[in-house]
Amino acid sequence: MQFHGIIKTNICSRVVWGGNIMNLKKKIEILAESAKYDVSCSSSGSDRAAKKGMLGNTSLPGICHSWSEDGRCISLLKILLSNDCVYDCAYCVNRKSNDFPRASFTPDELADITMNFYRRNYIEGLFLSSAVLISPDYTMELMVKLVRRLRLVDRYNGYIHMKAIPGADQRLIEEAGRYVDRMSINMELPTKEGLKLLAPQKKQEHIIAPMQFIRDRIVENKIDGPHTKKLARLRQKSIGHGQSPVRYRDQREPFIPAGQTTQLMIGATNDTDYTIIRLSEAMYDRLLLKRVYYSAYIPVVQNNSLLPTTVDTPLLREHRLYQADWLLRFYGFNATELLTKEHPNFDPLLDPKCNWAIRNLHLFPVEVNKADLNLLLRVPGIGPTSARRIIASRKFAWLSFEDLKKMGVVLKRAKYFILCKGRYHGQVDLEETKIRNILANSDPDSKRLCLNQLSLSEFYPDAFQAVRKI
Amino acid sequence: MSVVYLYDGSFEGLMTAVYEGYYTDHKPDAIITEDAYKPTFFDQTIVIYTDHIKTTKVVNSIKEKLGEEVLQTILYAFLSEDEELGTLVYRFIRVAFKIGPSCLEYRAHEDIGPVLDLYRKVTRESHHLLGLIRFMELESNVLYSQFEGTHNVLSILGSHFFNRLSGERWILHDLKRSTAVLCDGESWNIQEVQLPENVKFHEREELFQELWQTYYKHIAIQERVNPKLQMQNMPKKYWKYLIEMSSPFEKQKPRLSSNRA
Repeated sequence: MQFHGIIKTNICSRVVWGGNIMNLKKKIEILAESAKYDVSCSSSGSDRAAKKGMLGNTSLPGICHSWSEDGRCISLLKILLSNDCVYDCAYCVNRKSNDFPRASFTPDELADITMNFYRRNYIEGLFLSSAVLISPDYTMELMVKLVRRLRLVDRYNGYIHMKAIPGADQRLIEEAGRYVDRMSINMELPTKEGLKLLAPQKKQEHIIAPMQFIRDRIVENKIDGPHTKKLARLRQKSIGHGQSPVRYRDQREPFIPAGQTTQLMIGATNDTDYTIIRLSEAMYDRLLLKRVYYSAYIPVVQNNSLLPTTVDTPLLREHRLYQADWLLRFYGFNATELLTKEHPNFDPLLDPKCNWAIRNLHLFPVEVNKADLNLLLRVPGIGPTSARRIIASRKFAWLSFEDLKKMGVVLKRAKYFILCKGRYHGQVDLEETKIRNILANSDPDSKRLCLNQLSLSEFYPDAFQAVRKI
Repeated sequence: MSVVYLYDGSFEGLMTAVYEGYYTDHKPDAIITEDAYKPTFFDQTIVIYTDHIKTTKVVNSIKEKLGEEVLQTILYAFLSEDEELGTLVYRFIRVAFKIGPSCLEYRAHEDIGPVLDLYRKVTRESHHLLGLIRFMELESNVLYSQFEGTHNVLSILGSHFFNRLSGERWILHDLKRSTAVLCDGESWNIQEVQLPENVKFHEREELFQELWQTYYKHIAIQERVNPKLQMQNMPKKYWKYLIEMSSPFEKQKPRLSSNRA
């Protein structure tokens, strides 16, 4: 089903609403439904001040504008330009062979909705994505047309996140990059084999090549920014590889200031957590990604022998991967410290950091008044904020256990791993089995997130055995 | 006998009280607003008369000796409208001048921590509201929004929306305090206001509210509905003025006493 233009635009881009309003409502309904499985909705990473004559600005930490019934934050208008896909990826609701209502916005329609939602403060910006309509280039051209219009005609200065279409011409990605704050290309499946099996029309090269292209362009534009050395080295490398970068008029012209991200689907294939977390680490290191999102597979597709049909989704697994992802980005952990080939999956009963700490009990307990930042960050329950607070506050006086409490440091797990002024407050001996039992019983997530799951061992055969052995 | 300073509830009044606390013999045990004070037989009360010169002296010396960040912390703590804030801020300032500009890092100190907590409460609510404010377009193209803040965050929101909605005319109305930010596109100020009467909406307002409600409904993943998480992230006290949570357009009429055709 295709919708035809139901609005008329006049020169000053004000829209006169004529015809049937229901159609626009219907389109929002269909195209939001089709976009909802994408997990990313963040509006962070861009810090652009307001400009005279333009509407909007961006906020570095991002702003959430609402929370939907599933408890997820709504920051951006997350919507597809079209869900009328020529691809037939087995895991996707929008796949061609699915008997499913189809709709497409015109760029003008969606620009007008974005502007009006933004003015009313419903949203922090637009998260534009699309199914492959006719061809990757055709789709990408429509998307570029939309963001160009938003910036140049509507004078919109707020946040835009665009999901680029794999396989689209580099020049289109290049142009889009000048208008948007963040771009993402979704990896979806962690391995080539998985892609071949479930999304035969997508090729991994088509996903990685544009990611590299975006990285190189970001690197070129950030010569004076943070990570200068690393970026310069990477830049040298990319030039050395013969992909001579094009010269640009103004090197400082902003290009995707909030960086690029990607999404991995969890549980549609039988890749291990180890494979996934290693891939994420490589993407953070080499592609300089800002975020990797993990999306627990929801069986939107029935009767496909390639896919799991269980209704109970591995939300807990998704959660553990996020925890590990945080450890990689903010805590100085390496993937190989968290998992190994022999133990390739996370423990469902314990978060990855607790698990690491229990396996490395010889490092603990640490004296909070002496430990350096890196060591404090390795204490379960102490995050970057608490660690910095501790370091700042202990300059004035040695901290007691009570002081930590007053400062808002969460001690439920930390107390087993720290000393305050030489005193241990953990109540039990620092012994692997005892601490593991206590922490596993008090883990807030394993109970919360597995209510609907039949059995953990189904998803974590390895890890589950390991736990039972103890 | 404890000494209680009574001030008029304004920031200037509080700063004057702090000044008096330094330069008179009767050091205060508590600094309370006149409205909130409940008399007892055991207090010696001293009424503080707000003084512009004394205020300026205190504010300048905080700025110079402790830095802008400390001043902002105090200002935000003041906006919390907490009953004890006068006393807490006074104690905070006394300790802060002893420690110097790094005082904000001494979170574990009994007189520093509470003010940082107030600061955090105010920043948290204002950040929340930056997202949860909903404007409605009136017939005259003016954007109008109502909310009720637990803390007095109007001025923080005002400067945010002044930057963001560049060139637009808008009104941000805190119903709990009967005050509003009025912005004509060039500048903004805070005024005492009453509920507007005979408000007419823009002809497209209903459409966009409906579209937003539709979007909100369909962006949720039904298999993952989680009201507890939703409420934890978006406390119910804010729902009343959210287009997506409250009754549809028609039922908003009495609230604004609109006579939309």
